[in-house]
Amino acid sequence: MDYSYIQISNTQLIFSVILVLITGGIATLLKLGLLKSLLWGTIRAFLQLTIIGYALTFIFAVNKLYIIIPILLLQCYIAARESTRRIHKAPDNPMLLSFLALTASTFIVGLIVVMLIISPQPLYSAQVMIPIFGMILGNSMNGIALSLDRMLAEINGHIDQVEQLLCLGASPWEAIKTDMQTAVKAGMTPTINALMVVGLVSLPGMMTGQILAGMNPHSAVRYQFVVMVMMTAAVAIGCLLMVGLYYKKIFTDDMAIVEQMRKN
Amino acid sequence: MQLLMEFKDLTRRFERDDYFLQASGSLSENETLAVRGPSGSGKSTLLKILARLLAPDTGNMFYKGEAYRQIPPQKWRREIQYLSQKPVVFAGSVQDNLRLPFNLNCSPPQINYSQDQASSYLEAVGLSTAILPQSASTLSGGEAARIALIRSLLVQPNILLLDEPTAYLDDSSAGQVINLLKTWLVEKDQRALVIVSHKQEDIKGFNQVKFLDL
Repeated sequence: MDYSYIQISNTQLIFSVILVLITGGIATLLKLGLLKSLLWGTIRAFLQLTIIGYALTFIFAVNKLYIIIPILLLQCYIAARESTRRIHKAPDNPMLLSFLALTASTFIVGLIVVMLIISPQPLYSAQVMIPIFGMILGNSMNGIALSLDRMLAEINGHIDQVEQLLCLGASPWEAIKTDMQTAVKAGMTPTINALMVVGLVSLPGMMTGQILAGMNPHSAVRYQFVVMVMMTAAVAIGCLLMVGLYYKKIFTDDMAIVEQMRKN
Repeated sequence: MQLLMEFKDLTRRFERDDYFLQASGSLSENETLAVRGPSGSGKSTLLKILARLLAPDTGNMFYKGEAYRQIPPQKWRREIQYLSQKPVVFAGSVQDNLRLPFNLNCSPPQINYSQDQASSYLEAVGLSTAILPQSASTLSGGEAARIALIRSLLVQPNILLLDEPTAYLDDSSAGQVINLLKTWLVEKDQRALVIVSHKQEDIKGFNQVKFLDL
């Protein structure tokens, strides 16, 4: 069977506007007040993707580590900012720790996947590293945001229990261990759920993209499996690092819960 | 009588209004310090400061002559046990709850869980040992309050900081708890009690009572 790549021409691309019009129609009909956001979002998506298309073409052509690494770090920074920006009233700013957790988890898992599993030539191929690291980051970012949010909510909801444990002689870690477990679990659950239903409920984006680009489905499935387990590992490492690094910010030097947690 | 605890010029500003807590006091062995004051005057806040769960804005606290900053918080809190007004029990059985402090990593090796002591305390507050295998989540407020108190007593503290210890109890159970505390207080040297209570009966029974009005 011939798995050929079907190119989307400019005219065909314009047809995709029909889909935006349908969405806009629904938004107008129901008076959702989303029309402006939808139009701006569509324009932004088109421009961002076009720019990134040109940028990636350039980066893949140059293929130098001194370009790849700063790009990956920039991606980590943006992901760290996104993962923490909706978490209000968190003691101290968790952004830096989120950056560390994301960078560590992404690089650990990304390097294992790129160096050991995919093994491109040369090993630091931008064409492999940037998409792979990007996929890891996107999932770790969500996992970290979920676990951080859950961690703060759990501790906030259990302050009496945490303080009683401290009074009984528990260390800060012992006092919030159960809340930390719940937080890591909350961060990992979407990825684990995705593992359960992959291929049954939906064909994931990467696999779909590869099949549309002409790859044999058997090969696409192999890639997808690697991607799924890589994302699970990265989310697990990222969530663990995040709560492990951040929990100390919940406590004062006197091993008491910081004031800000009480005000939430 | 040995001076066990002293707190000098403790202050803490409240978020609401311009009110701020101001308190000084001391506590010698076998003494009871009854903290009085209208609702919102900072009685619970003072107990939390004494337990080092809240930091004072100014002032100092001393335990056996040593400033609080010189004493590790875990040691401080074990020896100066704070019990909140709302009783806290954890997942698991009543037995698990009573043993919990002894399963913590920093549990001092010289203090071990004593089943005999636990049974004796249970009996003193009108509870049977049959309650031990029961899930703590099924306890009534009054039962939970008594279990939380027994758990703290088993840690063998020197000072108890009690915030309305009889709030969840009927008169009969409240009397049993106060009697247990009276016995506990004089049973050994170097024990003292700080109590916040709106009930006159709670304070009456103790011999050496000092009052701190906020």
